[in-house]
Amino acid sequence: MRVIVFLLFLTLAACASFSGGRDQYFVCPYDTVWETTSETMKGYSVTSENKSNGTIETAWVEMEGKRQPYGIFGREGFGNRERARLTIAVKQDHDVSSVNVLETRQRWHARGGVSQQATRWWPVEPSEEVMDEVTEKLNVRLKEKGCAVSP
Amino acid sequence: MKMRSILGTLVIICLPAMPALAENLTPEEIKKMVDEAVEKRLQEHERREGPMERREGPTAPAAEPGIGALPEVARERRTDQPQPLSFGTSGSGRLVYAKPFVSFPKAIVGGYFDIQYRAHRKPVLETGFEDIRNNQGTTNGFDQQRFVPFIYADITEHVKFASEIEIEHGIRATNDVEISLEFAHIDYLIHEKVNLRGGIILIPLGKFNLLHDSPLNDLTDRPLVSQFIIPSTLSETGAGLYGTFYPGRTGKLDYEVYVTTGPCGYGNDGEPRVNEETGTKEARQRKCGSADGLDINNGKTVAGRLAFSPVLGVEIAGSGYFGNRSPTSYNPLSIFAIDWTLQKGPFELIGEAAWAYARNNTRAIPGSTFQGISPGSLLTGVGTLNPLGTPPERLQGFYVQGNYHFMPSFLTKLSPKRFGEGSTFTGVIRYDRVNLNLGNKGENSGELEQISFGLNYRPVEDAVFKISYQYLPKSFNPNNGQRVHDSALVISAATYF
Repeated sequence: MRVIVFLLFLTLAACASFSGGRDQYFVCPYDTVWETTSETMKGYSVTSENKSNGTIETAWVEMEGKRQPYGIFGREGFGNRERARLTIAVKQDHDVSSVNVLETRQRWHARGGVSQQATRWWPVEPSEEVMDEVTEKLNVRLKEKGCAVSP
Repeated sequence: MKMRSILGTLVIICLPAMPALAENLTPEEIKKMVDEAVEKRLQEHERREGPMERREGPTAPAAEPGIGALPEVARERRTDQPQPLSFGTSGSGRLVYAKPFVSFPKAIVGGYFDIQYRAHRKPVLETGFEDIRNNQGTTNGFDQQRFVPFIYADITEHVKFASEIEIEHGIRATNDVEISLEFAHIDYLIHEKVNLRGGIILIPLGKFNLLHDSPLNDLTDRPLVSQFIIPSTLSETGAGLYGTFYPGRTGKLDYEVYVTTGPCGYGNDGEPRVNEETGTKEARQRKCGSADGLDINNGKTVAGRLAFSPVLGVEIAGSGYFGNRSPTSYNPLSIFAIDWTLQKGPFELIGEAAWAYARNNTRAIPGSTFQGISPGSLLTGVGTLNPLGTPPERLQGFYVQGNYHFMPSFLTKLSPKRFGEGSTFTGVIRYDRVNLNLGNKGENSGELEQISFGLNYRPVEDAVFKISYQYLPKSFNPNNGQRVHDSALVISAATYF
């Protein structure tokens, strides 16, 4: 019982401290921020868009992964595949609207040798470049519409 | 064309053997020389074996596996057309050449290896029960514990095969050496949410049992709970499902559930195999000499794990195992475990806790002839360190481990090749505690406790050199079953290859 309580405490603490993406705040009406975000995301393969709860989600896109060979032969092992998807959450808090950009990235198979786990996608760190790109696009477009970035 | 390319490659490979010549030639001259040499070799080849078209042309008959002359394995590999596998042959030993050898482009051969040196203050668990008993006083030694080759194959986009062959303490040439299939299964991928798996399966009971390879672990010794309560490596023959769901924006939910052959809780004479000295280790199907690794009853085991990751870097999971371990009665072994992983930056906090219940393990089963004890009677003094105690029914244990990854910048400056990107040091601290018989109170109870401090260096992610100091406030001496305090220094290396 003590272990379970300890674990619950740890999980809650961890979830509170772990970031769930990149937040940006704009002094702008919700509708403007939502529409701009929606326009910005049109360049991506959006699978769901829900204005009432402020979420936009893209499809998983598979790509060649960062090279991660293993072993004495530097083999690619189980394929060098990664996939990623973006989820955007727009929220309103009084006169400020927040946009959270999150990339979820996974790699096919975690490491070279764990072959029972080979047929699975394993979570890896999101790409900073991709999140930078999306947030930068959003910033530019929202500034064009007169929205100020809130610190 | 293929023959021309191969010969060209051979000639180019030979060029460095004539360095003085090669250095003074222009690229055009080298090309001319290669062409001439290839032409010459082709002519020689054709004189010797006839025109190439005879072999590579479309009219060349495909060799039936197992019939006629032995096929050249190397030539078969180069054939674009896949060779049919057939049982309709003469049945000679030549059939083996019809198999898709390990060179099949989608098959991967690899594995891992470890080596350790350990020095204990007293002879205890890790230096081996039997050896210690026969050779009192051994407290240190080298051990090449695991050599585990694996073969993995992408049969098709949706059919995968994975296997690991475990050779433990391979230096031994006696029956003690353990060579077995740790797992070997075929997967049929249907959808990310539902996939099928059948074969010898690693039981998803706790995370450590699934990710137990020596190069993955930051300490040499496996956690006590993963040795005695969840007896890693725990694998059984069976089939089941696994998959992943994505609840919410950041959540991930993994599941695995299998029906397997089940545990083997008793020896031929009815002696309980769950005991205070080895926990549930000897109750594994793979250790069951009486049934040769097969089912001992008609009951099957259900095992599964549900892991939830609310955000990247956090995972908490619950898993369970339930199956009858008796050949003559209904005495199930049930194990429940929770495990957790928290990662943030260079910090990691991992751990596992498990509870096992071996129902009616304290009494002789129907049909038992063990020590003349009549079925249903208490097994006093059996499978316990306490002469007045009984074999364990309830066992419990856990470990908590903290890791910190770092790389001092002065080392990177000193040798970027050895201490550059991809290499890391890890500081480790782990607390282990198990009770292998919750029903046995007193001085000689089945409690084990261990605190480990470790430091390891990974030149690359898949190879590791480890050193650790272990302090065991509660251990026991297998010579006399008495509880002792102990400490140990353990140095090891492990790598995937």
